[in-house]
Amino acid sequence: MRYGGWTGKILRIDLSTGAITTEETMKYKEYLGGTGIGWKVLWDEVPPGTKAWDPENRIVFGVGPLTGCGAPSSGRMVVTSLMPVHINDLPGAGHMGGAWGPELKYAGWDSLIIQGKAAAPVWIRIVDDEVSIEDASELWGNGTYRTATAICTEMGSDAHVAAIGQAGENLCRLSCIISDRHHSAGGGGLGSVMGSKNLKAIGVKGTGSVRIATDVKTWKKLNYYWLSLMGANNNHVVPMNKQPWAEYYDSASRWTADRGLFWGAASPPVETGYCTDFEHPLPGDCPRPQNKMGRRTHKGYKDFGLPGANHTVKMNGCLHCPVRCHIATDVPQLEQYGVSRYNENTCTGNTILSSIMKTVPGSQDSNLINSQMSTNLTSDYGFWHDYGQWAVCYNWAQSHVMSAAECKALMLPASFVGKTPFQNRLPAAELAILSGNPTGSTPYAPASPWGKANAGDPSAQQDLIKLIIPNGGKIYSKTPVFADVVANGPAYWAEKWPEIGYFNNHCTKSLSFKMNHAKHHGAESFGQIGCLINMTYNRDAMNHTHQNVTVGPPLAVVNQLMKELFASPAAPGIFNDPNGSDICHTSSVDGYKPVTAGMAAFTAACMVELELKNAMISCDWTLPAWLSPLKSRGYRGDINMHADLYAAVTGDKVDLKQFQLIGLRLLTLFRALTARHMDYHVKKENPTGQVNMRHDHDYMNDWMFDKVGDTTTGPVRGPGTGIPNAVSGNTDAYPAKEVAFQGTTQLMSREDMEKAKELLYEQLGWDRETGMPTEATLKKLGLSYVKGKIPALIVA
Amino acid sequence: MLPEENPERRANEREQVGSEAPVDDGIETRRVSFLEEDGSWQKGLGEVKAAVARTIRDSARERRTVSSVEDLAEWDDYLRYGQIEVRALLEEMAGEADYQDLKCLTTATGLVYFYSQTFLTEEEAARKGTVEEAKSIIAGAIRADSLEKVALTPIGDIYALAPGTGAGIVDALLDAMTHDRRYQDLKQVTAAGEVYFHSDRYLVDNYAATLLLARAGDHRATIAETVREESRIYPRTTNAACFLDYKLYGIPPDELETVIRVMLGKPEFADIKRIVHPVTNAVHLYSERYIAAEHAWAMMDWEEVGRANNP
Repeated sequence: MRYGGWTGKILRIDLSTGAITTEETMKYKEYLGGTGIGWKVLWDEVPPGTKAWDPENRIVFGVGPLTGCGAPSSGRMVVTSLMPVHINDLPGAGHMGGAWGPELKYAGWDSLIIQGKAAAPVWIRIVDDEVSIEDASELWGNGTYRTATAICTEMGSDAHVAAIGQAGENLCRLSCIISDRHHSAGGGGLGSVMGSKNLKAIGVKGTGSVRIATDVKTWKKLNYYWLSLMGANNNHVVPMNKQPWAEYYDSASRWTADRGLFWGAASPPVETGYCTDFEHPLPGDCPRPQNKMGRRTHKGYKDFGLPGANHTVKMNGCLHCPVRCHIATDVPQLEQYGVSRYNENTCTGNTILSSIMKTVPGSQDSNLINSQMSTNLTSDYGFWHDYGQWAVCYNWAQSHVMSAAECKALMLPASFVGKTPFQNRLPAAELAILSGNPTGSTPYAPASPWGKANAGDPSAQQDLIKLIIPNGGKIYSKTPVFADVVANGPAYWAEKWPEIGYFNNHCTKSLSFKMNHAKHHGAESFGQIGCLINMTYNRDAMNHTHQNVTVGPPLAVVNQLMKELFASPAAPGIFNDPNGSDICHTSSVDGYKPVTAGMAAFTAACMVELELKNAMISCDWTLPAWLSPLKSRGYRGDINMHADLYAAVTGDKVDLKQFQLIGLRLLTLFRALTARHMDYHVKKENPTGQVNMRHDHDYMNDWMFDKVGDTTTGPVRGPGTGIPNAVSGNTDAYPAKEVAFQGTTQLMSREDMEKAKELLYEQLGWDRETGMPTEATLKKLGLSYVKGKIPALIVA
Repeated sequence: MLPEENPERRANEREQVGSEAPVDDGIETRRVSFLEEDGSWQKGLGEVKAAVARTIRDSARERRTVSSVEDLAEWDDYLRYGQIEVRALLEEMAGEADYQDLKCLTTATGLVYFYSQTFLTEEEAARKGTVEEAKSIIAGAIRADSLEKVALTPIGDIYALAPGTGAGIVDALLDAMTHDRRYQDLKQVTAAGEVYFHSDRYLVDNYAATLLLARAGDHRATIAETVREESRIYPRTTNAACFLDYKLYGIPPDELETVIRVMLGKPEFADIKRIVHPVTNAVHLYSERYIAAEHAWAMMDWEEVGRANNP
């Protein structure tokens, strides 16, 4: 059968030998593309115990059958590899928007697999079928901006370049890959994986097209229908404030468009306006988005208030996406620092370095200016944000004064009492550089990096990033101890400084979920659901499927709609609680709500949906449309849309249940892959031991469970400290004993979370004791070969 | 592409359209191709014409009325999505023998309708066109008030559209519109004996209810009812700062604090509670009929600081 969607070819490049070869895509068809192919390549080709920076590691640049097809939100791509930011180099993926992924597809490739290590810096040039390895010695040492400019000068301005900056080159574990200036694939230090292979960049130019299996009319109808179900960024389907056309509103919504709210730096300024008339007036008709969807989300305003709105030129985003996520700004003030006034990014991508800055009192623009300085520098250096966790650790290490009780609990020297971790751990010479005095005490010297940071001076970021990422490597570092912990992420930091690990495990403000990696919409997002999702991955859980549903119509409405999909005798998919239990807590007057089978079914569906999106590829931030903005549909979205779209593009006719099984196959393979690598490290310590995924992998930090005492405040919390621990990351000001998340009212319960795991495993066909897929599940999913590699871990 | 350093980088119409290219263009034809033979829609064009003609004839024969462009556009995805322009299609049909009975009329205000002269005479069609035109004008006025002014339309304003026309005729038209599917977005609300209209396409029912409350001028009741609704429906606390929206709530900003203080002292509003966040100093209100005190505190805390600290 001739399929649409796929190009049919995969490109493999061995940098050690220089071999450039082509493979058939269809041998991976059951894995779709993207991370699906990535997981399979890692399973087949990368033995357990391989380190991320070993030449034997693979880095797979993946697109999928939907990439570049023009359907909404189909412009992204993924990079799959072992992650150097993780202590045990577990597998993971980073996800990149922009246009690089579609360009690879137009060049005729479904994936690019890179292995080996070049003897000297190189870059890869791809122009359709013409592929070559080029000398990058003159590019090495440059940031991503100059690198991309140089390559585009050679290939043409319509080429797209994915490059690493100095962070990746110098093997900083907090490093990412940057394309099209500000689109990044972080994924636990993927920039350094490229760096370890001496691979500076990949330039791509394609002249081909994506074949669509269905006919033009069906294709257009499907696209219009899908567009009608989409809301704003994160598929938020109600506006953030009360507006005359909207029945509901939610202050958390990213649907910010309003009358009088402008892209203020556009010329002329563009009003976002009301979003009326997106429902077709004729009863029974297919709605159509008549308004400008790209104006619904004004992230400049959402993130930075009116100063952000005033400096926003437009909202930008990925190829083929109607929802624009990136804030394109014009901040003339940056020019005095020798930095471009034009930048763009979004969310935590904007605040990597500005999170360690103080705001200038009385300056409305200070926060925005610092954020745009941050995005400019970190995109150029290719510095990964670790979803904000590294900055939280940094701020704590700089500001928290250790108490005698803390030092005793952590078995730290008495000399540490009364000083911050930075003061305790950094050599005097480094403290002198950072603070202007050898003790690192306040007040800092005004001209020092920390002094300037405390004054809100953006140039502090320029000083600090040179100290964190010394060009040419660690031997050139003026502050090697400082750089070694800060640039390598909280996990390695905690290995060296136990108080960092304790902070991550026990303190509310750490943002750490487990294994010293960040949480990403955890307990605050539907309680047990967010926790289960964050447990499953090896980095911050890049899963917005559940999170997007937390914002929108009233919870009672959302709960009912999700029950139709996942807790109903008539549920359409394979994940379901036919007994109809609640999914989204609708009231917390009566306190903590125990986990339900419906919540587990919803969680399983969210996880499988993510795998499908990362394999097709479709954007996880804007889809799926399980809700819609359409009052005429009772705010229902359409859970079948991804399967329908996949079938339309490829011609591979699948229904929802078949499609979810494919997703479950990918999730289960990822699970087995993780278990295999973890088991290697367990056996390294204890040859007779073996990993238990339920206990060794699927856990969460203590701060989400423990509440000890209720009188003292302070950042180090948990057992032995007499300090309360509340699941909010928010405040010491709350007068009551507990703090609620949306939907839950108290700290999570260990006993309940253990039950939650079992319910989830049941939905996924995983063993309740080990958290591993059963033999029957492997067989059902066509993964029986997995058992051959890890027989002891698979139960019948 | 080359990194952008262009000082002329500005939003323009191209970029706005480009930001939703799939909407307007459906596909970027340069970048996609179709495995199945294209031209399928061309082959189906005859069916579309037949469906359009059937609609016009059925309306004329069975309902004795004329058809608008909107009536016709719903019959085919390409018509609905603008891929085929209805008027261009009808112009093409005018030259074809099968459709010679289909005629077009233009009203005094320039509205265009279609009919089949097999079933309606020219005079009859003109009369029907006038009625449809009147309905369209009324609906247009109400929708414009809802959309542009964000205001309810008093029935007096509708009477004033045609000063020489008796109220009975206008009432008959309004009644007929309630049964016409084209005008199902128009809603009638009554307060203190006054009749108003709004289009819920542009101004939804609960917003209209708030406008009616504001129009009544009882600020305390306006606040209390708003707070109770939010506590009941979502449930969530209400940041008191929202009542500074004078256009919606009609409460003079410099009186808001006093209004809230007095309201909280009245027994009929005893269920309304006030809490203040100690970090942001934001004032939140909630109804204890629907939210317990501790939960209200927690929700306020999440709204004020928790969410921002949990990216």
